[in-house]
Amino acid sequence: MKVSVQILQQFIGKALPSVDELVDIINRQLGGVENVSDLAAIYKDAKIVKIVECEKHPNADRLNVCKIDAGTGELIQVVCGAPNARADMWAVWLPPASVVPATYADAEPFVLDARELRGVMSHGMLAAGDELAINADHDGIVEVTLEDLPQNAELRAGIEFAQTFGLDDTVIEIENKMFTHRPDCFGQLGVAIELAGILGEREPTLIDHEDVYNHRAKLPEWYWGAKSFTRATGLPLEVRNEAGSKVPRLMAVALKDVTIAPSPLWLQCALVALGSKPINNVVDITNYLMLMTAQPSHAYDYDKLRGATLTARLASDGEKVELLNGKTYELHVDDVVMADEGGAIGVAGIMGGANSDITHETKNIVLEVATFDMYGVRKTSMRHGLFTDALTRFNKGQSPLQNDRVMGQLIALITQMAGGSQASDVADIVDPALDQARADSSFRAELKVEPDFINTRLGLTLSGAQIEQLLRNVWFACYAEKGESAISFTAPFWRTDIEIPEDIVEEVGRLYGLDKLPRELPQKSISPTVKNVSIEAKQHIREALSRAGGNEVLTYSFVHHDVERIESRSAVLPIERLAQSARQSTYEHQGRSRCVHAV
Amino acid sequence: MEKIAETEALLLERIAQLDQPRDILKAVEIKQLYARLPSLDPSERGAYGKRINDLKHTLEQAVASIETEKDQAASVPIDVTAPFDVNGSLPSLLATERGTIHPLTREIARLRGIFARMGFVSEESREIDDQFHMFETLNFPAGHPARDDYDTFMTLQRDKDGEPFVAPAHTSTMQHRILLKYHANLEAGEPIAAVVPDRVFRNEDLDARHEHTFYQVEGVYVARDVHAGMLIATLQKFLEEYYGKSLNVRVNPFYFPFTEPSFEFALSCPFCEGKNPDCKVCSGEGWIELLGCGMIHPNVLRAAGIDPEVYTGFAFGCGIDRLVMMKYGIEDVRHLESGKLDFLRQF
Repeated sequence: MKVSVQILQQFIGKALPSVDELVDIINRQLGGVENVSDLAAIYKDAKIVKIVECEKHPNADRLNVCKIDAGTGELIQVVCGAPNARADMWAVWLPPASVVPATYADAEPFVLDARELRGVMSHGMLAAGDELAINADHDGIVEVTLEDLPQNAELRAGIEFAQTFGLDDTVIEIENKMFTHRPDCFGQLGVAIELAGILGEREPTLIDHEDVYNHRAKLPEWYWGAKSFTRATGLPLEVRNEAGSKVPRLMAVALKDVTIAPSPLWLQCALVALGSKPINNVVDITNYLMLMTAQPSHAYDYDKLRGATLTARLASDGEKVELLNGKTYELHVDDVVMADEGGAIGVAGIMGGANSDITHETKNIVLEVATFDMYGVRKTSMRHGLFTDALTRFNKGQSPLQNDRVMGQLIALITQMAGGSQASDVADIVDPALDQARADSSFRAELKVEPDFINTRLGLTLSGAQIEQLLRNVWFACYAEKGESAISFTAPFWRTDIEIPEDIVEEVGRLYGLDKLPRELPQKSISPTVKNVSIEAKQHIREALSRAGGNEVLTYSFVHHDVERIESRSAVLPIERLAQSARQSTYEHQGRSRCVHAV
Repeated sequence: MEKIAETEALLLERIAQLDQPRDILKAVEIKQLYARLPSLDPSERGAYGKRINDLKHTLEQAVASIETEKDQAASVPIDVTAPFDVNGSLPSLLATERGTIHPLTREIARLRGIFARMGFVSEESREIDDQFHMFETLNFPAGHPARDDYDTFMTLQRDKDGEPFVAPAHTSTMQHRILLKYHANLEAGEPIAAVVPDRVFRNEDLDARHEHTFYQVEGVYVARDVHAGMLIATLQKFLEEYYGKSLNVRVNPFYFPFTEPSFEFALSCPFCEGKNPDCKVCSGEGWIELLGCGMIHPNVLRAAGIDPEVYTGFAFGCGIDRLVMMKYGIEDVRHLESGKLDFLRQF
């Protein structure tokens, strides 16, 4: 799971400690950090420049000689082979002595210089998307327009490319394993919420009661508030769930008249920073929101849907589907698929179908924001060997309470960046088992826990108020009835992991700081520890035999079945025969049988 | 004659009480019998003398039989079927050349020794187990994604639940049995404290750092008022004893289904003490990620009939192969099960 320090900063809303300190805090209180990459170093020399003049190279048909304004007060000459280079265009310039970002991690990074190209001096280069490692485009140099800029940024000759597009960032990669039970932490928001709480605890105690929410991460309005949708018509769309509780929630909507194009540069850069690949504006927005909220979503080409329907159902035995990776899969009756009238158009929660994908011709789209049973998608993925970013999130059990928030923002961003408008009602099919959770806006019922219960298990003596504050910092609702010590905790809607009082113990311990737990040895009576006769006896034999000159050998407990077959002619018999699924190559040359000790 | 029979009974009885049974042959009673000889009628003397000789012969036999018995009692029995009388001495066999104990079993004996001194009993694991013990009782419900993390070998045969048997991927597979076996400790006001150092299996491709067969020590401690700080303190104490120096330790939050909260446990590098940026053991980081641990999940306690409201406990699992490799600077884990004598004779 990659998290951007800049995005964390934005959600946490206050100055963060240094990256080293941050990594240390994450290691101690959130999860093991696998890698830290400094994007700023990769892009440190790239500048946004204006091409002032662009003329044909005197000695080469395909080259242009550009004079660029890099804000230095004088024009700089760069020879450029891109067909799209022209005067008055804004581009990205890599000056002499800078490293081409795409080669930054190579054994021999490509360092630019100033040299003559066919008799004309060229200083550095104007970069294409692939050279900047932000996309695969090599057809022309990157053009920067006003639409490409993030909000509140302005275009001036010579400004830093990295700073303008948020690539002066550090990306911290946290081990996925840490978050097996934390689906929310597969999004930037989830990690930011957690980190805000951890940092909050390190600040001086709050005195002013008004400030009890001061340490929480600042959630964007679209994520916090529940969503209601406007009605719309234009494209008929029928949405059905025939897979019952395997699809706890299925939301879908049709949009018309969208224009598919590359995403603005800021979005492409944001995706690249987080390890994703830009594809086109609509797909990029679905991916962007997944990286933010951990909720995957999918876009279909409306006009490719047969019968204007979108159905979640179980696959029929032997049903085939071709997916976006170009491979065809034969499905199993337990696999949940998304389908139209003509058949499967995707494996639910894992990958969309090739027959309904978004292309540059796409005009109308269907957006799907669903929740799938974590055990079901996991089995399907194992069965077919299909692993995707969406699956990584769905198989941890995403909260079905965030679908409407994500759907709302998806519609807003797409209509803003790709044009078009909502052309159907927003279908929302919800498992009745979730009615209570939706009413409470919390996935789990309120938990009532005594501070004593928590303190006993952590060896601490925290007051009820301290405990409440720790959890309030990560958006839990906490209160204690007058005259009662027990605290009632309600987890925020994105937390699916808070089930039992021990989960609150974990939260308190982690947010308070595991390094602050008192290290006391347990006390025990002096009655002697019981000896294990079997172990003692084996140790005895071992020592006797080694004194007699024996060398103790440990061998495998099982053998590959091929080895067993060959050996069956000899006196050696394998004791345990394991499944033939044991990988052949691994075991072919291995030992024969398990004997505890051989002399 | 009656006198002789009387003396025989008397002496046979006395024989058993003597330190040196042979002394009975010099008993004063025999001399007294001989002394009566001249006073007898000459016709009776032959029979009387023979009768005394018979008596001496009987006593000789009794002495011999007791001596043999005593000799046997004093010698070491070489009984291959029962060599594990822990109070007996070791059989002395003739050495042909220097023998060795495998570094893994040697280390396991050390670990057990330290834990025994800390009050933990040792238990053995098994090489085939059912999924009930490997997963179910450890709070991994069927279909739980964490079951995938273990790359478990399974058999073609199935158990009574219709599930394949497994080659245990952690010695935690013994946790439920331990909680049941020592359940009575709790009522007696004693903790459950046990370690299981034994063999585990994972379906891994082999390389210098990965083996499909390796060793792990599981630890379990349950009592009243056990808290997470005690877990950290216990492991720290153990490691300080193991490495013979004081160490720093730290815990990171982690996730295991069978503990809540769960931690990953690291110790300050005992080899370079964080001072060598080129340290091969800790890669210059100064910390070694060593093991997983946590407070035993209430469902695990409940499955063994222990009330989690009353009792709490901790559990940990630590790879032994890595400890051995770090200690001896072994660069390839595959040596350990290779059966290469050249390798083994170095220990």
